[in-house]
Amino acid sequence: MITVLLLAMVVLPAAGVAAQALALWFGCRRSERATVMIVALVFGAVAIAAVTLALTLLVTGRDMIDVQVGPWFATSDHAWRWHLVADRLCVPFALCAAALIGLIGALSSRYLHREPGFYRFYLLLTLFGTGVELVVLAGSLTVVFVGWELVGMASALLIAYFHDRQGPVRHGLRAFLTYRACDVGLLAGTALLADAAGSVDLSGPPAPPAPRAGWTSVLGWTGWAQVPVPGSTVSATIVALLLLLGVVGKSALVPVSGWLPRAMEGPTPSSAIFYGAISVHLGPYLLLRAHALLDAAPAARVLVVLLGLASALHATLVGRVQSDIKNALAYASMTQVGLIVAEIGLGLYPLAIVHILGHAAMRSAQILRSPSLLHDRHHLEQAMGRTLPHTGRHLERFVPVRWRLPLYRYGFEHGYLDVWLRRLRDPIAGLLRAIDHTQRRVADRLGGTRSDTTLEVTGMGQTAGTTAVSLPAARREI
Amino acid sequence: MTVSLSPLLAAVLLLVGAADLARRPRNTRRTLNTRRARARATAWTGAALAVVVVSVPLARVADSALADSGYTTVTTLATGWARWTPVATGLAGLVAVALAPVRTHAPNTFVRLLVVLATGLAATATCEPALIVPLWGLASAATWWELRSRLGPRGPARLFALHQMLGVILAALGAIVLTVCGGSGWSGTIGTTAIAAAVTARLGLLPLHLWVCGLVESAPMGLAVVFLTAPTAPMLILADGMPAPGTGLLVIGAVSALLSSLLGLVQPDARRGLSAVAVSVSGTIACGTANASPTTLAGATLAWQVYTIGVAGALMVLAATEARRGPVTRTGAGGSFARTPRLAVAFLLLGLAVAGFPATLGFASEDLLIEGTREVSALLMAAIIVATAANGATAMRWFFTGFTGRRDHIGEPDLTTRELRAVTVALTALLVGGLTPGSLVPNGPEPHLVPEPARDALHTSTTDFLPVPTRQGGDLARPGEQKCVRR
Repeated sequence: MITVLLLAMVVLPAAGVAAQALALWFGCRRSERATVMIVALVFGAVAIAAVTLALTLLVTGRDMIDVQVGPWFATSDHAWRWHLVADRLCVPFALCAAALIGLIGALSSRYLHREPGFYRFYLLLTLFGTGVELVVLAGSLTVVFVGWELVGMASALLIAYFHDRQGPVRHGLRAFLTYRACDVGLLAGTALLADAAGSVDLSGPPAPPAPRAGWTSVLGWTGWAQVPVPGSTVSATIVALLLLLGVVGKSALVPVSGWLPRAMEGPTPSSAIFYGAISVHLGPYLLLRAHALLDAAPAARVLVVLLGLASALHATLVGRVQSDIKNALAYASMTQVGLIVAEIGLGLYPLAIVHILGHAAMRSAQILRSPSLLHDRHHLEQAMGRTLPHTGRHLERFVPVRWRLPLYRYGFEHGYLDVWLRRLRDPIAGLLRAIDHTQRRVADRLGGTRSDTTLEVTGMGQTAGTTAVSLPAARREI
Repeated sequence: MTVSLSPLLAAVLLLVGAADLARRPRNTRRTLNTRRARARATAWTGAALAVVVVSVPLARVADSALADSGYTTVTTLATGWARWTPVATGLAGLVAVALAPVRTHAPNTFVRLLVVLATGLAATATCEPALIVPLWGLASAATWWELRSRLGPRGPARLFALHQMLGVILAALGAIVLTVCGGSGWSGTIGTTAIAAAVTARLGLLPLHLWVCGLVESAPMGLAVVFLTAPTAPMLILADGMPAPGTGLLVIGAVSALLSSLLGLVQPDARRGLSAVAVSVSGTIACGTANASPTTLAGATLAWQVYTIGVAGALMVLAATEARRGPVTRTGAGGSFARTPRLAVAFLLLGLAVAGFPATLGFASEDLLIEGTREVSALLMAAIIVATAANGATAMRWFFTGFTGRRDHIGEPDLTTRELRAVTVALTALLVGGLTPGSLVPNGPEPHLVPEPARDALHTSTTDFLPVPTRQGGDLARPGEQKCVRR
């Protein structure tokens, strides 16, 4: 029964995705109400299953429930299994995610009513939910990777939800490229961990440390499943740094944080659930799962703290000069995520867990409220007949006057991070273009043609060699 | 020599279809002729695919009957690595024909397309290099003739001819040397090097990769697709008596995978971008076959099947899109997703499947390749991981660039019924296969099929396959199935 519940938390959202995708692909007519009902039923059931699992863990006093299904595919010396766990860390996260996705789904039925992309939104929301439940309930890093990628794809496609405008499309692509570049770390870390530790399956909670008095015993609570730890410090450090790279991309830590404010181009409900509540917190969640690895790699732990603090400081400076409410909230979210990462680096795990859950609930509510807040503010100003005073400047007063202008400029330029990344990217792209150009010249030389024939040839390839045919297509040309 | 009847029958059907198309009188209205040619070619390709697909569930029964009748060298389908390859090849052919735009495909193009597809299917019918090499030569000649008739003898046609001629000659040389002189000593080294170089040319690996881009850019896309996805190179490298290609192909494959995937990110148009992805995936496949462990071989074979369906689908969807609204370029205006949602989604899913995205069949092949190469070298594994990530980024980039970003449109339609059916079949194979990859993962050659004297010299020389008893209560082998272990 417990096994079925645990599996249902992953299978039900996946079935929801399949049902909606098939209906969209084959053009089946259905109502908005039916779509919302599917999402509500799926995530309602997942929430109920999470509550049942939580009660089971409490009543039975078990540390974790471990389910392995498979092998999904195998060769003579390798097998891939679906490995899921339920423990005291993941069940609250799974419940929180299901409840928030269900609520966002219910709210969006009015917010996106009669939008052309209504069904696409719900499909991607369900896909996102599937990915999140996979990451949260994963019993091995390979399963984490599956969910991680699904979340990334859903995120990028929802940022580009308003696909007929160039801006959202560009920002969606940037988010996906950032995810993809950083996911190299997660995948490489997983593979190296399999090599160094012999497995990537989460193991049971570590033995409890010697009892400590007072609040320190609560702050040191680590009773959840952990990624395995390699024997040597060097291996542990390399694996931890690679996993941290994945975390940096997913949680928008410096220096690749630039995609997060741009991601707010998507519809407000998806911004709330992705960048206020769940998606940005998956990085800290992975770090919580890997705290034993951080214990074995002190250098990586120091880097975690530094990255977290740097992200928080950067985001709070930049966020204070934003003129757009969603951008300001994005940077506020980044600030809190940075602090959460620093807390994990400092070993304050229960504080980080409470911080994640509290921040997820509060920030998603803030983002959902943001569009109507602007209306309310305008109405209030009209009623009062004057502009409302600017609040929240208490911290600025502590900054020395001579620092204010440089800091303002730093915030205005988004910390120059985009410029630095561009300076890093441009020479690489230039080198690749030069290689490509050289290849074309060699190909032209070998083919015995002049060096500028590529475009002509392309055009001929698309017109059956008849250059008289104009390129804009007509129905009869298909 | 073992011969598989089902792919052979499918190839014969395709040749009959080609003859049927070739003998039809040329009417005055070219467009109508082309449409009719495409319809008939689709029917013939569908029939060939049906033959291969139907033979899959019947293979076990039919093979037993054939063995009982004394035909021990005749099977229904190839066993081991090549089991699902004819299905993937046939499916790629169906997609290539069904989505071929009449703008770029003349009736004669369909004749050559069916011939090239028939050679690809016939190559899966046997593991004999003496047959695979001439089939490669025939396919190259048909493709070159098409290029030459369109663009003249220079340019892409000459580039293609140079590479394929070199490849065919090297493959023939290698096969002859290995057959006559055996696989040991200097002759073995020469033969192996020649075969590895031939495979490099056929797969389009560095430095013999320049023809791929030229072919994709300038040939009719359907013909380019069936030539690219014909399993000549994997069948050659896994053919009977072929020694392990060694470290050379491993390094070439890794460099090709990495460099081409990065080059794919800076290409100015979608055709070049996808051709870079094709070269990159070919590189990972070469790594898997050259590494020659059971896991990488299984991964490479599965990756080849995903590549066959995925690259064929993505390139043909791109061709269909270009026929509707012109080239998809970086500086272009983009497209209206609302107008062509199925085209866009099909392009994205097929492209991501090739890049090994989770929830597709490509993920299983990617996992097997990474797992297998991890045991050889961390650098090799890192190259494959970076290549996979970059290929996914390229697919997503051209999805956004080509199918989104504008509100207006020129009245371009979405997938037609014929196209929708073909794309749906391809997507079903990749997505349903992604849900249940276990039955599709190749589990190695049957030990009794490996010739005893050649066993030590085969490409599996580092991994001898020995039959071991099925583990009781184990989860890796089905009852009655023999497992392979390393010695």
